[in-house]
This record gives sequence, structure tokens and C-alpha cells, in this order.
Amino acid sequence: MSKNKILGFAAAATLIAVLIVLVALTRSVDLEAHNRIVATLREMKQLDAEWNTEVLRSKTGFSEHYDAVARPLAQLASLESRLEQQTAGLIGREGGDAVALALQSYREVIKKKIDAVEHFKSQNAILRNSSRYLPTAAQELGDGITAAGVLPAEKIVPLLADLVNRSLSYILAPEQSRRELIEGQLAQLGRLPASLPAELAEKARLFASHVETVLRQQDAGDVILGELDVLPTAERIDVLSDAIAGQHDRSLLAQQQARQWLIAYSVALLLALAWLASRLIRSFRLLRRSNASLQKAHAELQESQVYMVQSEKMSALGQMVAGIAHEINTPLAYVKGTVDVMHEQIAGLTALLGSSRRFAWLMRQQADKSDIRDEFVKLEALAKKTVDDAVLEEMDALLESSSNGISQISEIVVNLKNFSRLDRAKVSQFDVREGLESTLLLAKNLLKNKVRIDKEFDDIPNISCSPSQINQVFLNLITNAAQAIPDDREGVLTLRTSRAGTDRVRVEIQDNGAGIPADVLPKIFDPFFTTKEVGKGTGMGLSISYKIIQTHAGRIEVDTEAEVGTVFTIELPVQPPVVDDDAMLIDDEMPLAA
Amino acid sequence: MHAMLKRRGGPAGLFLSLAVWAGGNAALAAEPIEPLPLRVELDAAKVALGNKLFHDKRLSRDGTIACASCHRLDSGGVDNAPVSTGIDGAKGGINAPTVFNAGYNFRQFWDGRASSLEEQAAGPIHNPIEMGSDWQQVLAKLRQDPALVAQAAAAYPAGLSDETIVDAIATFERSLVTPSAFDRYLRGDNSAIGLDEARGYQLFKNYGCVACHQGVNIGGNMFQVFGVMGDYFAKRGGPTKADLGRYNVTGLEADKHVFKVPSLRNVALTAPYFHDGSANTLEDAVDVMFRYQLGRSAPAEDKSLIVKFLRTLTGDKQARSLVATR
Ligand code: HEC
Ligand code: HEC
Repeated sequence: MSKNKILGFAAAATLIAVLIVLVALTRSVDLEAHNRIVATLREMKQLDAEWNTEVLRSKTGFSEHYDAVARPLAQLASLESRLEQQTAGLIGREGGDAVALALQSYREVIKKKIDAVEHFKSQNAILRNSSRYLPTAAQELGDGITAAGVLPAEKIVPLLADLVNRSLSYILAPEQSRRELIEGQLAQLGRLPASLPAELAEKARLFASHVETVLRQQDAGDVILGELDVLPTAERIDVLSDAIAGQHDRSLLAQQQARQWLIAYSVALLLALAWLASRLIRSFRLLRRSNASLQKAHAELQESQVYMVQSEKMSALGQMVAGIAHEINTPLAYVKGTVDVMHEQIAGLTALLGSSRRFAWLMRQQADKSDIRDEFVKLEALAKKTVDDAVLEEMDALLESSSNGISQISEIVVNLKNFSRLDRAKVSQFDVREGLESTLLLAKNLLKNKVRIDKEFDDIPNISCSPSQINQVFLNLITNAAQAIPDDREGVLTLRTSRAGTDRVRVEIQDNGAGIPADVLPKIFDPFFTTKEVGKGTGMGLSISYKIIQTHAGRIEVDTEAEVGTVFTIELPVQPPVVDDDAMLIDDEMPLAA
Repeated sequence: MHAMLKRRGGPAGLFLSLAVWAGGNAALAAEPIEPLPLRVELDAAKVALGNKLFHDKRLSRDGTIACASCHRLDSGGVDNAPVSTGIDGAKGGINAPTVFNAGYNFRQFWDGRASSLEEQAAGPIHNPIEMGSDWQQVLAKLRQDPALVAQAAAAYPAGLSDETIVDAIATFERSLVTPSAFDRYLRGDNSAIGLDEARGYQLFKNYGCVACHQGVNIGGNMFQVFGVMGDYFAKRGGPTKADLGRYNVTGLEADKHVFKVPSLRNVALTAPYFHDGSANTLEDAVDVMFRYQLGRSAPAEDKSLIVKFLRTLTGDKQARSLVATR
């Protein structure tokens, strides 16, 4: 039972778990989360574009400082870590590899871009400084050389101006031909006369190195910008977007599938539930039906119990009737015998009387003496015979014994009446000892010869009870006792009455029989329990006795010892609360197992 | 977009570029230096916790060194030594930069190896010659301090942990913002700095210092070769590993001797200068800059005007008051 229960719980838990998993799966796609990812990606792309613009602004000199170029670094890092957190759930799922890969390749390219922008800033700053300084440097150098008189102004100034212009042009249009021209002019500058003062030579060297710096930084910048130009950050973000979108689609599909599964599962569950419900209803019906049949059986049982009670009574009555019949039969036969004998003797008396009458008539008629003498002789003979035969004495004796027999019968009838009191349901004052006596009388033929009766009657008050019921108990107990005594032994049945406290009387019915076996003892008050052969007893006797005593608010106890005997002790209140005769017969609460 | 980047310019682009290159049209360009913000919004509880931790010597292995030992807040956020001294008196290989305004640096450390203050803060604790500790030790020690644990719990739901320690310190550092007279000047208060200083600023721009030292932090937003126009290290001699700069991070030849351009805010307080602490005075540092970064000479007067300008970058005393609590 409990194992089944555990199994049931486990099954229910599993079903619910599956349901929960399926529901979770249908909710696995967090649209909001996806939207957040899309938003982050959009921000990343936006930032990337803005970054490009800032680089361009720095290159063209629109912005005076690089904060705007440097700031995206932190923003990029935070966006990237935000994206990482947001996509952490995606990676490891189906399609997550593509996302991880796209993220990785985005990281690679963004790292390159960061490096390129770093280098761009560095080179751009220097390019701007040198290019800004060139005109001033050329001016100072030109003035110095002219002032020192090393070279005439018209020789050196155009060269320097050319270099400055060409260099600045190179920044805008870094053409190889221009570069070569600049390099040629730088070589020219390098061939300045040796008479140049050291300070001017240093200035010239510096000027040249700034021109070279411009060329170098411009070239380097071009390379960096070229690099930046082809760095596919935006595309990588797009690829990343695609991968995430692809995965999102796949999860949506999976969600759809999960939803279908959920529906199927729910339908299956519902069907199972319906099946369970139908089974429940069926077993409920079955239960009701078996309940009904049980109730019927119970009613039948009760009915049969009533019937059994009735039949027990009948059987008690039967025993009683047998006893009574026997009791009556003896005096009856006796009375009949005497009556028969008297009947025979009536004939002699009739003859005597006839002869007496004729003799008297003859005398009055003064008839022949012979006739008179004849009749006298006949009369005398008849009278003599009547006297000799002591017919009248005999008849008197016969009548006396008939009268005896009749009074015996009438005694039995009184007892019978006492026993069963036709007003049986009525409660009346009852002398327990009388009850015992009349019961003994009724049970006489059962006890006859076989059992000695010892009466130890203490003086006890009358009790208020249903005498017929109490007598039934006595009869039952006395009959049982008589039956319990083996044939080979002189039976002694001891009946005792005594007071039990102030308001109770005690009756003991003791035999010296075989005793009740221990395994039987607990069952003796059970209904239908019997040790007698089938048909010999209803098995209701003690149960009914028990019930009767209970109904009288009394107590019945049994004490038994093997081969020593049994004593039933009944205690009855002098004044029981209410004795309801009906309660005994039709009583729902009558214990089937006492 | 990418076509534009290439700047193989249409006529308009050409015109604009020419105008800028030819003389820095002031009308077109804003100032290359931006003032510090007027307000900084930070969580006061976190700032307070960070402040405590910043001064907490238990962060070091032997309990002798706090962040503040090398970044003295009463001394420009530096230790004023060429190289720092860590636990057991170990000498570091590089000059300690200031923590003031470090939040405005695009990266942290001379070589930019930390991309954020958070990333940076864990560095010294583990650096064997700086604080030489580890989180397990630090946390074990700090957790014995109920007051601190309670304070951390009040500032962070997660309570005291490596992450919250780092976050608190970084938050505290972000509060170390030092607006100066020059910021007021930039905001239009012409009398905030003297005429010489204003002239010095002009020269600072004209000579091209702003090519590298620009932006809100007057530096701190790009890498540059130290020795653009001449070999500084050949001249100085005694090359060290630290001299390699960003090369130590990237391993790229092009990154040799490349350093983060330092912020010049509070520069008057942060001597000695440069990553090697080789310049003892601002004048020396400016000389080196002219020689090796600009590749030009300048009259001593211009240089001293520039130094005067640099002194206007020292933060006002009440700098911290601009941290707004939220
Ligand atoms: C032993 C001395 C020492 C201690 C202690 C120390 N620092 Fe530093 N700090 C330095 C040095 C030296 C550098 C430069 C290192 C480099 O760039 O390689 C530096 C760099 C920094 C920077 C970068 C600034 C910039 O502009 O790049 C920050 C921020 C900083 N430290 C904060 C801290 C914090 C926070 C602590 C405490 C957890 C701390 N430091 C402890 C010596 C120290
Ligand atoms: C090409 C870029 C560039 C230019 C132009 C430039 N600097 Fe620098 N500056 C740097 C770099 C890089 C460093 C750090 C070098 C190092 O310590 O390794 C630096 C360091 C400094 C320092 C020392 C800061 C410190 O805390 O150690 C000062 C002061 C300085 N520059 C001032 C100037 C001045 C003034 C000018 C203009 C005359 C100028 N710089 C021009 C790149 C530049």
C-alpha cells in the first residue's frame, strides 16, 4: 500500500516535472533578452561608426584633442562585456558555436582596430606637430641663412617654400612623384655650403627631419588608415548579429516545437486524467454497488439475526415444550390409567345399582318370594363383590391420584406461565429464586437422574426486569451446564443467589463439568458461535444472554477451569435504568463480535 | 564611411584640411584642453569605503604599505621619488604617477597595460615588490575587522570581496578629481590665471605640446614614443626594461619606448618627472620635451612661461568637494 503510494507520488512528480520542463522550454526564449542583445549590437555598431567619424575628425583636424577618439575604448569594453553577459546564455546552446565564433572574430578585429587607432593617434599628433612647425622652421632657417649671407635669399627661400608646400601637399595627396621631388629637394638642402654656422646647420637638420617626419608619419598614417579602412568591424558586428539572430530563430523554432510538445503532452495528460476520472467513477460506482450489497447483506444479516434470535427462542421454547410435554405426560398417563380403571369399575357398580333397583321394585310389588329371593341372592352377591373388591376404595384412591396428577399438571402450567409470562415485554418485579426454580422445573427432564442440584439461596430482594428474558438466560445457562457435564460423572449444578452491594443481586450458576477450553473462551459470547453439532444449536444462546444482561445494565462473567468446572456469574441491578425488550430483538448496534 | 576615412578628399575636404594645416584656424577648432567636469556623481558610501581601503596597510603582505604610501594624497598623489619603494624596501623600476584624475586616463600605467582603474587596482596588491599580497591573505585580514566588514556590507550587497574592494578603490580614485585655476580660465574666467600663465598656455599650444598633452586630462589619452625627434635613451644611457614601455605589453617593434602620454594636471607637485624619474624640475622636463618630443628649440623665456602655465594645473584645495553624493 505505502509502496504503491510512493510509486504513485513518484509518477505524479515525474509527470509534473516533465510538464514544468516543457513549460520552461516554451519560455526559454527570452524575447526581452534578445531585444537587449540587439540593442547592444546596435549600440556597438553606432559606436563603431562614431569612432570612425572621430578618427576622421582628428585626421582632418576638426577636433583639437583625442578624448573623443580615446573614449570609445571604455565604452567598447563595457559594451563588449555587456554583450558577453547577455550572450553567455546563448553560447553552449545549439547554434551557440556560431555566436561564440562570431564574437571571437569580432574581438580579434576590434583589437586590431584599437591598436590601429592607438597608432593613428600617435602618428597623427606628430604629423600635425611637424607639419605645423614646417612653415615656421622654414622661415627661421631661410632668414638665418640669408642673414648670415651664406646664400642669397632667392636661392634658398624658394627651395624651402617649395619643400613646405610640397610636404603639406603630400599630406593631402601622398603621391610617389611628389615624395621623390621632396626627397630630391631634401638632398639639395643637405648640400648646403660647409660655411654654414653650426647653429644654422642644426636648424637645417631639424627642418629636414621634420620634413622627413611628415613624410614618414604621413605614410605610416596612410597605412594605418588603410588598415582601419579595411578592418571589417561593422561587418563582424553584422555577422555576430546574424549568428545571434540565427540562433534566436532556432530557439524560436525549438520553442515552437516545445510548444507543440507541450500541447501534445497536455492533451495526453488530459486524456490520462480523463481515463483516471472514468476509472475513478467506475470504481466509485463499484464501491457504491458493493456498498449497497454490503448494506443489503448487513440488513439480511440483521434480519437473520432477528430470525436467529427468534429461532433461539423457538429452540429454547422447543426444549421447554419437550420438557413440559414430558412433565405433563407422566401425570396425564397416570390420570388416564386411573380414569380407565374407574371406567371399568363403573360397569360393576352399574350392575349393583340395577340389581338393587329390581330388588326394591320386587319388594314393593310383593311379588313371588322366589323372585325376591333370587334377586336378593344376586344383589347380595354383587354387593359382596363390590365390597370384597374394594371398588369404591379403589375408585376413591384412583380419584385422589387423578387429582394429584391433575394438580401436578396444573403446577407445570403455572410454572410455564411463570416462565414465559405472556406479558413478556413488560417489566415487573421478579424474584430471581422463583425464576431459577421454575427454570429448573422446565429443565427437569434434562437434569433428571444425571445432575444433583445444590441450591444456596441467600435472601435477596426482588428485581425489576423482564422475567421472560431473565428466565431465558437461566434456562440457557442451566441447559449449557447440564450439557457440559460428562455422562460418566455425577453432575453437580450449584445455584447461588446473593446480594452484590446494596442495589445489585448476584446469581451464580456453577457446574462441575469439563470447563471451557482456552481457545473457545474468548468466543463464547460471539453470535453464532457454537461447539455443538450443526443443527443442534444456533450458537446464539450465550450471545443473546449476554445481550439480555447488557440490556438490563447487568454484567455476566465466566470463570472456568478445565476438568473442574465453570461458573457463570450474573449481576443484575435491583432497579435497572430502562429495559427495552425491543432493543434486544431489533437492535442495529447489537455487536456481531462481542 | 570607409571611403570618407580614406580622405582622398573631394574639394570640400581639401579646402577644410588646408585651412587647418595651414595655421590652425581657431574659429574652427575648440580649445584642445577641456575643463574637468563641475560635478562627479559617485556613491558616497563606496567612495568612503574606497578611501579607507586606499589608506589600509593590511592590503600589503607585511602590513607596512598602503596605496597611499606611494600615492600620497597630500603630495600630488605621488611619492616624489624617482622610483617607488615597496614592501621590504624593494625599489621598483618605474616612477609612480599620480592617482589624481587617473579616472580620466584612457589606460592605466605608463605602458597602458591596465585598461581600467578596476583592472589596475588589483595590480599593486599582487606585485611582489609593491604590496606582495594576494586576495586570500587580504580578505582574511580585512574580515577580522567588523567595522570594515559592516561598512562594506552597507556599501555593497555582496559585502567585502575582492571585487568590491577593487570597485570601492576605483570609485574612490574617480573621486580624486582636481579642478584648478586653469579650469576656471577655460570656463571663461580670464582672471583665473595671470597674463604670463595665459601666454604660457598660448605657447603650450603654439609649440605643439597640445599635440600630445590635450584633452580633459592634458594627456592620458594616447601613447607616444618618448623621443620622437631624437634618441632620448641613447642620450640618457643605462637602458632598463621599463624603458621599453609599451613594447613590454605588445611585443611590437613599433611600440618600443612608447609610453602613455602622462596627464600634466598637478604636474608641479609630481616631481621627479618621466617614467624614469630623470627630470627633477619642471624646467628640465620641459627642456626634454622640446628637445625630444617637439624637435625644436625655444627661448628660455617661452619655456619659463610654459612652466608658469603648467603650475596653474595644480588642483584647488577643495577639489574633493565636487564629488556629489548619490
Ligand atoms: C610600492 C608603491 C606603490 C603602491 C603601494 C601602489 N602603487 Fe600605484 N603605482 C606605483 C607605480 C610605480 C606605478 C606605475 C607603474 C607602471 O606604470 O608600471 C603606479 C601606478 C598606479 C596607477 C596608474 C596611474 C596612471 O596614470 O597610469 C594607479 C591608478 C595606481 N597606481 C593606484 C594604486 C592603488 C589603488 C594602489 C593600492 C591598491 C597603489 N597604486 C599602490 C606605485 C605604487
Ligand atoms: C609627441 C608627444 C609629446 C609632445 C609633443 C609633448 N610631450 Fe610631454 N610627454 C610626452 C610623453 C610620452 C611623456 C612621458 C615620457 C616618459 O616619461 O616616458 C611626456 C612627459 C611630459 C612631462 C612629464 C610628466 C610627468 O609627470 O612625468 C611634462 C612636464 C611634459 N611632458 C610637458 C610637455 C611640454 C611642456 C610639451 C611641449 C613643449 C610637451 N610635453 C610636448 C609626450 C609629448
